Amino acid sequence: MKANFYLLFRSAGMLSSVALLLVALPNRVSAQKQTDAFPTYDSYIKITGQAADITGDKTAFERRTQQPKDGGVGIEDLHLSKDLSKTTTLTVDGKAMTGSEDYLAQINVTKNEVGSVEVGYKRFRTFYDGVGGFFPLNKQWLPLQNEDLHLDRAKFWAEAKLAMPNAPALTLRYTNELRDGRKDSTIWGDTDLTGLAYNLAPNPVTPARKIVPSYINIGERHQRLEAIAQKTIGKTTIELTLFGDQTNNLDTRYVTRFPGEVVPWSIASLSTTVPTGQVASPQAIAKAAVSAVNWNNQIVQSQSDGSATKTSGVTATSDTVLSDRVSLRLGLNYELVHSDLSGDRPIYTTTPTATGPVVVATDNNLGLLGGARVKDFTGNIALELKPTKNFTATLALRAQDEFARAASSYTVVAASGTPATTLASTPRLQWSKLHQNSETPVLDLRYTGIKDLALYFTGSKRSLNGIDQNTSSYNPLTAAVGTLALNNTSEDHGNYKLGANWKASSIFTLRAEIYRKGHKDDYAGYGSRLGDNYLLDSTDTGYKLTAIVKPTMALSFTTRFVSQLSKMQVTGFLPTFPANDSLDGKNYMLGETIDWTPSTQCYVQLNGNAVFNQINTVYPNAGVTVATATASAWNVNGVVQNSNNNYLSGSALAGFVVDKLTDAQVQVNYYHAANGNAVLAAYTTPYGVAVRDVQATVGLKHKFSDKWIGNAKVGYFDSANDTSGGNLNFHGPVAYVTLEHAL
Amino acid sequence: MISPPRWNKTALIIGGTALWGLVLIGCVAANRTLVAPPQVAGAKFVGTKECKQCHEDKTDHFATASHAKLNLADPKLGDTSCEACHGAGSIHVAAGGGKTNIVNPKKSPDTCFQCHLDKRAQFSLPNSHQVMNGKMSCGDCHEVHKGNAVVGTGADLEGMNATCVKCHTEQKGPFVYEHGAMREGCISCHNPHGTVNAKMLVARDANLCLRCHLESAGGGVLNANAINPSAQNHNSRLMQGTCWSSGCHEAPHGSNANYHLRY
Repeated sequence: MKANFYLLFRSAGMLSSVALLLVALPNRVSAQKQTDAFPTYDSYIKITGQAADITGDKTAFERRTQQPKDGGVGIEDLHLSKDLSKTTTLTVDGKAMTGSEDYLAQINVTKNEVGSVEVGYKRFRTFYDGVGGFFPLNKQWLPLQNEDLHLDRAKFWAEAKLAMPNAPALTLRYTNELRDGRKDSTIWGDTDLTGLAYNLAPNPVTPARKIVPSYINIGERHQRLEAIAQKTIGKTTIELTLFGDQTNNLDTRYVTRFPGEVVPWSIASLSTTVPTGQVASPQAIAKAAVSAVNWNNQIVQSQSDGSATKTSGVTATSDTVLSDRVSLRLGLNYELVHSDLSGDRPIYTTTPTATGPVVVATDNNLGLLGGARVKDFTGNIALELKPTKNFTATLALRAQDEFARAASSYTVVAASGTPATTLASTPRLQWSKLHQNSETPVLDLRYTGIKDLALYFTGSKRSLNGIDQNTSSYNPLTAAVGTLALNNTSEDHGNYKLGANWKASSIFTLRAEIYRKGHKDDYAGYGSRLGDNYLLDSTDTGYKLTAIVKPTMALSFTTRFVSQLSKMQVTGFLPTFPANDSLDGKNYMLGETIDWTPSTQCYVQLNGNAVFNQINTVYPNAGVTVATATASAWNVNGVVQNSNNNYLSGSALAGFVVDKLTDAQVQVNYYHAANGNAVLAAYTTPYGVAVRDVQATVGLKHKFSDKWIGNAKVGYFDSANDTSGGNLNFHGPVAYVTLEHAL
Repeated sequence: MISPPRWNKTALIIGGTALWGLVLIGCVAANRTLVAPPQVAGAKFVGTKECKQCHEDKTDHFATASHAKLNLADPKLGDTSCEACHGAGSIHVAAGGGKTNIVNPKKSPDTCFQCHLDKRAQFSLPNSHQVMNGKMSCGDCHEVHKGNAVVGTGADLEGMNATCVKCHTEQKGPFVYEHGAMREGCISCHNPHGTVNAKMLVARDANLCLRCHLESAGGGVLNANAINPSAQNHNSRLMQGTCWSSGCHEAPHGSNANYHLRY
């Protein structure tokens, strides 16, 4: 019976598709009016509920869709517009969705020719899945203990504008933004539980892999107060902005190393040989029982980074219309930044010892304190010329002078003794200074004198010179200063693009743009560091083509092709480190959108994209073996291979009129990336992404009355994630229903 | 013998087509209008002059905008500059304004995706800013009505990374040791529109860093063991993970403690 139903279903599909083509081919778009479409309300409220029944990894579903796994309910959208008087309008916007914790409350009162007052609060949540790496050789997968990862962004703002005729326009704005929660990190802990032996060829391959997931606690606040005055005097409009900006951030990352590998702290120092006639100690027995591969103590590491930054400054701009053909714009910005720095990086083993939890002797720092100060002057000038009706030219120049200095100190704690019984603290100090200035001339041209053709060119060239000084971390009790780095810095950045827009006919439009970025970044040592050198020479060249073909009013094809080739070259201390190509990057993207409106009762939108993106550095080709490079050889190093970021994606959207009161919508989304390479696991951690997502939804929109519209959708999401060895796979139905009411 | 039915790929395709076809047959049987997004039902193009009446602050400077370089009077988008993105404006004008009778790209990115097909693909990726679900909009980062669409380029007063650090304040610094890559911009390592990789990284493996950090160990012979002038053997470390994932250079945005951006 079920099989017959299936066959019937399939036959119905084929027949109805043919029917669609026969019925829909006539083009009736232009003959119809659109006033009988569903109304859009000036003021409305949408009450929404959404649900999902996911099988598999629910956090992966949350991250992929940014929807809560348990669904949610609330006000999806509220808009109220009301005239309080002939000249005063009240606008209220709101949103309150539980689950996704998506909220908005915004009230605006505007009085014509007087000004406005607006107060608002907005908040939304971003979900994370907190996954680490997957090791395919032994299918090792280590989930994070606490997978409840999400980050809430909230913003409160209050703004008052005074805009009376013939008076300066004044704006006072305050914003307070919060970023709070817990998110995953790509800095992972290590494990030896990879199943790799020490002597797996080619030798020696470490069995340790950094695949243990980690997370960051985020606590960030950003406040800004701005006072803006704008006045037009004659043909000149002047704007002056005074601002104060303050950030208070404290982020802490937690990483666990070698989970499940806890062994006695002193095991490495013990002999497994039991003297004749003696009984082996428990520790020695433990040592003998544990493979040397796993002689690691579980380590808990955290790093907190705090900063409290206060910025004050002023911005002044002017815009003068000198004549119909000439305009002049000027701008000046000054900022002064004070920042207090703090931090801690304690690293503890979880092994009980005579002194309790032991501080790992390397890579820790405690009680970091410091400060930074930045002064920044920026100015710009732009002359806009329009010598003829069809030709415009803008000559602009930007200049910037920046001075920054920063210093910090902390304590390093080292443990000694077996078991560790002594903790020694050593102070460390470091500082840096930077002074640089840059000039950026810009030329912008546009010509529209040829019928149906617009030509443009934009070129800019940034030149920067500066001095960068810093010292490595040193002990101020034993040394006057650490190793100095003294560099003259210079940059030469040229960015150019040339484009054309050609409307060949009512059927065909073509847009083309070619571009080139040529950047040189140079650090050259001086004084005691004469000879130090690092020169990065990079170029990106490419073009973008967009073709729009519209054979009828009901059908259009938009094709976009983007091509970019990237090269980088690094030169070090000469003649020891001559120039070498370090990057060969390729990026090709082909996209196609088809809009088809076969009748006024239905529409179809199809979109597809194919991306080929490859980053090739010289490292994969450098060296004969993983361990040693005794001779030149190519394509033999398995540690790092090309980074492929290819993918296919597509979507199909179709809307239909079902009857006088009902519309339907069908949507399918597809995404596929096949860049996984498990073979690399023998040498390194395979990072290539291999994912396939399919999402399909069917929805109905029904008009219950002139003031009530309902919308319901059901769908199915299926995600297969080979990057995680299938541990992040999920699938299941999703549902969404909303009721919209005119207010 | 007939095999029992399964919801395999073929069944979904055929079934979906069936559903589509059935609905389409229904739709042509009813005589009512449905417009494809982003459009305003029943509206006609009125021209930019009408927009200027109320939105002078937007139209006055549009000649300086990146999009002004386009020949927007094309058959696909409409007849006028403003309405190329905001949809036909006759109903909006007749009503004396309103938010629901005009296309607002801040509510939906569909307008932008009409031309920026590649950005639709990138924002649809698992690692992208939340534009597709309306929590962010293209306008949060791009200025479309005046000046450079990519703020902080050309001769703008704002700095190169101003768009990013207004939200990501922790990455703004200042740091005792800055990473030179930040001078090239956040986009050196991240694609804010979305990538296949976590954290919108343009590469997830060590190639991200090796693009810039490679120097020969001498004599013109490239040496896999040396990726910096100190010729330290990084192979065993790269086996464990990337330059940052492996816990060695964990402060890629800048460090207050370590010259090598270790922490």
